[in-house]
Amino acid sequence: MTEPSRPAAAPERAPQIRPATEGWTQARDTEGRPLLQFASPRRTQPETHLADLDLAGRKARAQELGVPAFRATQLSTHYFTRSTTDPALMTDLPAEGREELVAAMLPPLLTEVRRLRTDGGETIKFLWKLFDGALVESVLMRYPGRVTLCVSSQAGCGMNCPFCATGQAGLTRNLSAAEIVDQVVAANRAIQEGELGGCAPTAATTPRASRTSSSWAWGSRWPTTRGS
Amino acid sequence: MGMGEPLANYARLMKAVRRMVAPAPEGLGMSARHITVSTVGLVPAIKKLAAEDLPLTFALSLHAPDDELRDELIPVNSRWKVDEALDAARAYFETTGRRVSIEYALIKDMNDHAWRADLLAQKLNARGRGWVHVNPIPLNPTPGSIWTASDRRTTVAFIEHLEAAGIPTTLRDTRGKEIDGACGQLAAVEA
Repeated sequence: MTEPSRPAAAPERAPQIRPATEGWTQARDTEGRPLLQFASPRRTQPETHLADLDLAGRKARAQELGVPAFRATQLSTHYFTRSTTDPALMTDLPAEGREELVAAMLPPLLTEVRRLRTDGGETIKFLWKLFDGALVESVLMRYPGRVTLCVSSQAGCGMNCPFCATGQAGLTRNLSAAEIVDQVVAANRAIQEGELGGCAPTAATTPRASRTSSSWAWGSRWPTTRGS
Repeated sequence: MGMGEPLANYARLMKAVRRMVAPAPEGLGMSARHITVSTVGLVPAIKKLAAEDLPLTFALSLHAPDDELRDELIPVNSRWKVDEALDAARAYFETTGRRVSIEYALIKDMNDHAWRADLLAQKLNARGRGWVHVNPIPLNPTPGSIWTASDRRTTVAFIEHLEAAGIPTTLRDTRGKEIDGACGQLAAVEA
């Protein structure tokens, strides 16, 4: 396979801008190349959540907590189908010990810091704080006939791309499986509450697409400061 | 617009994906086809993903078809070159039957040249037909920054060069212009 050569005849008609950071400096490795972080510097993870376990694991956990295994199935339905973690809404569970059971199986993972709307309410950007103060985002977007969610898989990013706001700070830590899933459940909850585009919830508005992606700076402003 | 490189957190990512696709009450009952995993090109992990026996949609954030530019644009290209990433993407298609997406953000005078569209098309066609489509992504105009949107004519020409070579191409739209700043910027500024 031969590579098409650049047109040497008229280079002035095809300027080549080289990638460069603006307002920050890429961390470098010992050989002077941009640092790549594949391992998470912070090893701590949040406490185990129902969504970290498969159904068998949840049942075993329920029994460890001294309740029948089928309580794990009920909790799973509340969480995955009804998008709820509120013990007051779980009236099929005995009132006694309910709050303790929910706290043990569904520990809060994401604390909402901010919710920004644009595109006439059809785009919602969530900023979440994790148990250790790390911050992540997810973005919910309604399109004709579908809803899309961009999901974070890590706090920060170790890929150090020169255009990327996330890469500037490097990798903080990997998200747990439940921290990833909980972004989807939180988005489902927002939709079920009619938050997206102000539409009443219907089966057709359940997110069917979810995107775990690397970040790209398609923003309107480039960050010149960080850590402010 | 999510944060992080998902394939660098492979085990937890896959556990999360399995919860998303498991039917209720085990999980969310989503279709794997409607879940996209996007990467800058961690080749060994792409191979693992292909072997998972899940019809996930796979997207490769390529942004440049030549190593000379991609080495600078995507530092992980120093580990796995354009051709290796494209070979892994093609192998993903062969194993899963899922058409692969190539993400290509168009950056003015950096990667938006017609000859790069031709080179991209050539590299994709060299690996077969019907296995891939390209999503050029427009940036928002950012005056004073080198990371700014291609002009309309250049964008159209880039797409035309791909389509002329038989590559299915869909221009993505941009969302969240007012609230985005840059992706990840909210978290970065707040920290």
